[in-house]
Amino acid sequence: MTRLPAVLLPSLLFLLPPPLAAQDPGAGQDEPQLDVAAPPGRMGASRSGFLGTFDSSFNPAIGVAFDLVGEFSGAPGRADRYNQIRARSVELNLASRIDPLGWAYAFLTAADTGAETAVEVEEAAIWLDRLPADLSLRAGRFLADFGRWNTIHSHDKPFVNEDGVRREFFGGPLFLTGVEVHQWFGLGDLPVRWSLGLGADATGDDHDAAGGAHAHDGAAPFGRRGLDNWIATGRFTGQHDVGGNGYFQWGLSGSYAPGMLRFEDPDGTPGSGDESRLELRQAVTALDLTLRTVDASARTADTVGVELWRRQGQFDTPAGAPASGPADGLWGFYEHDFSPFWAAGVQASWWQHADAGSSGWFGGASGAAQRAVFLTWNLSEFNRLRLQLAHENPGPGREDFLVVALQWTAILGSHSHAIEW
Amino acid sequence: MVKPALSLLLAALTAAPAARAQDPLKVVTTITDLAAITRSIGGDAVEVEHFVRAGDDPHQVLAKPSMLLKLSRADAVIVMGLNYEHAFMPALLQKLRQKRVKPGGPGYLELGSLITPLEVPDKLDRGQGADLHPFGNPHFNLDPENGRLIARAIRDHLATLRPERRADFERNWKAWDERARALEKEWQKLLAPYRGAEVLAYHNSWPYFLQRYGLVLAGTVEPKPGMAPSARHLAEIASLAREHGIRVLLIEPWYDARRVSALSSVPGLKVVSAAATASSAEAGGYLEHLDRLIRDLADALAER
Repeated sequence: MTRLPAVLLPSLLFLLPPPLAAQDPGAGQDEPQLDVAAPPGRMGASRSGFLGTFDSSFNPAIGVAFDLVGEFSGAPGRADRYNQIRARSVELNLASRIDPLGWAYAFLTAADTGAETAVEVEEAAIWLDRLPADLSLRAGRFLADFGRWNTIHSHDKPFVNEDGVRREFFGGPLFLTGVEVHQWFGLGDLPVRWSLGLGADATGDDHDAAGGAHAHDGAAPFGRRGLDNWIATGRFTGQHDVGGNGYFQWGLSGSYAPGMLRFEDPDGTPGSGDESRLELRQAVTALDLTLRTVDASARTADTVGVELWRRQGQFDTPAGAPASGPADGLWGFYEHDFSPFWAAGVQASWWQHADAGSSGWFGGASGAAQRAVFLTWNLSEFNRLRLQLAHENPGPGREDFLVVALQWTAILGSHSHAIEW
Repeated sequence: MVKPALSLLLAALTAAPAARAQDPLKVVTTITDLAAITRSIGGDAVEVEHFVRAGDDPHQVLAKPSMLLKLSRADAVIVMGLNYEHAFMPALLQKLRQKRVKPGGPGYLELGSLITPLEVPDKLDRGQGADLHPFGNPHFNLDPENGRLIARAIRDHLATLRPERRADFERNWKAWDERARALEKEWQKLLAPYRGAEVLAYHNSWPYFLQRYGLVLAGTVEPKPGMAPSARHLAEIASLAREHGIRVLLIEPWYDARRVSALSSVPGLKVVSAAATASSAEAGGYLEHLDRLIRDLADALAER
């Protein structure tokens, strides 16, 4: 039997109905009757006593994002992901200020990769945003500040699937459990920002990755780390105004993981042994460039984003001897918004599998690629349909295939816009 | 040794230069109407920047770090409020650390508190539209009487921040207000013959304006705020315009006029392009913008 803490018992007594006389002191007399429906004039001093303290005034903002995806393809051996409609993610988000010094947020996500369904705390972090000199500090589990697009949740990106480079090098959007320090300032009239992160745990989490390769149960590429086996990230970025309502942004990012960990590669050749590799250390650097122009007088917009990544790692090989080698990746997209309701664009990724055969600078024979065209219909700001046709080239020895995807994203509840950088 | 050096570096990078009494006040406004009024009243005592360009849809404006930089260096920030600047101001204010230009700070002026808002929703429900304003319709700047309230509040705000220039602000405001009152008399005369006339609007930006001149909004092209019109809704609007003999459709320039081409078959219906905020160097200030709008509207209502 569950035991209630002793301190709760006296509290429960207050919830019992009081004696009749206490409930209705003026019954049968000409005194004004209590209007129990009237709102209390002051919180905590309502007519219902201190129960008024437990109203909803300080509840956090709550929102839910539904991201339904159907992907259809004749791809061999991927029945777990394709030719089905799945709730790729259903995300409950909560956010509120804690006190004048900081705020906190959490994203609780039920994700269906096709092969598995998992409920997880995708992000849960505290931001201290009132530190001196426009410094801020975030602690918890969060999307790492790496590149221009890592901090944006998959369902909010302009295309259906995560870029292939991120999926190859990190296993999907990179989540850190640790701390991240940020600062922004003006270098003359140019706003710039830097961040440094330190994670005791890092996970690449892609809601499209099937087969447990990037599973939600801890078998993700980076796995759980201790303080002696950490990952560090950093980013420096600046944003220039373009026209009255656009920008050009550049950024340099890096991550370094010195320790030993198991890397699960869903694109490894089946039976060759490279589906699961031991990685000794890894450094990833990335250059990102983004140009966004918005004509708010015509309600049209154009966005171009490009990211060039390099990964330097040391791995074990099927032969057993550790090998090292660089691997490059390049991805980008272009989107044109015809109006707030319609948009179309293209996305392309090219990357090298990180193994002994890669030679960096786009050399070697281990490349893979992904191309997509997409059409987006925003029925409203909170309701979006997207059609995408993608061509996937998984690399040498594997067949190319086409994927037709339909995505329906709906957002309800709390809603806000963030600074774009 | 390292710590003091780091602190000095941080301070040098992030500190705003201290404002001197003889320097113009750095004022940031959101929309051009507020910038125009502030320039008229502040004269050479202010340097004014604004975030939403003339003729731009405020819903499409991005929250950018350059705006954050401007706000952090400003002495005064003047906003409409009532969620008018929902697309960018909340995100900026959340990141902004300078208390002097945040809500409650001496430099922050939110004008929505000056008026009694119209169309405050009874309940908040996205079924009522995507572009909902929980505190009421925010387009109060389109009523010239509210424009006068705005001007007076800006005069007082500037005088509080720069008391030694109070007399200048008072003089500039008097000149502006006298002109506003004179124009308003003309506008009342121009639109008086059309009191009770029905008009259509693409978006519901006009309740304060229409109320001032006794005009009536018969319908909007948007079936709900922020939603694109369906062919069926356009047909209903066309039918309404025909049955009621409506002669004017007000449309902001940022909406695609092709969307209302289905209404071109309505006899006598004239499309009047009018931005809900459009003061600019080319178009003139707030009063000039309203003057042009009201004359265009009167012409359209007069046509048979």
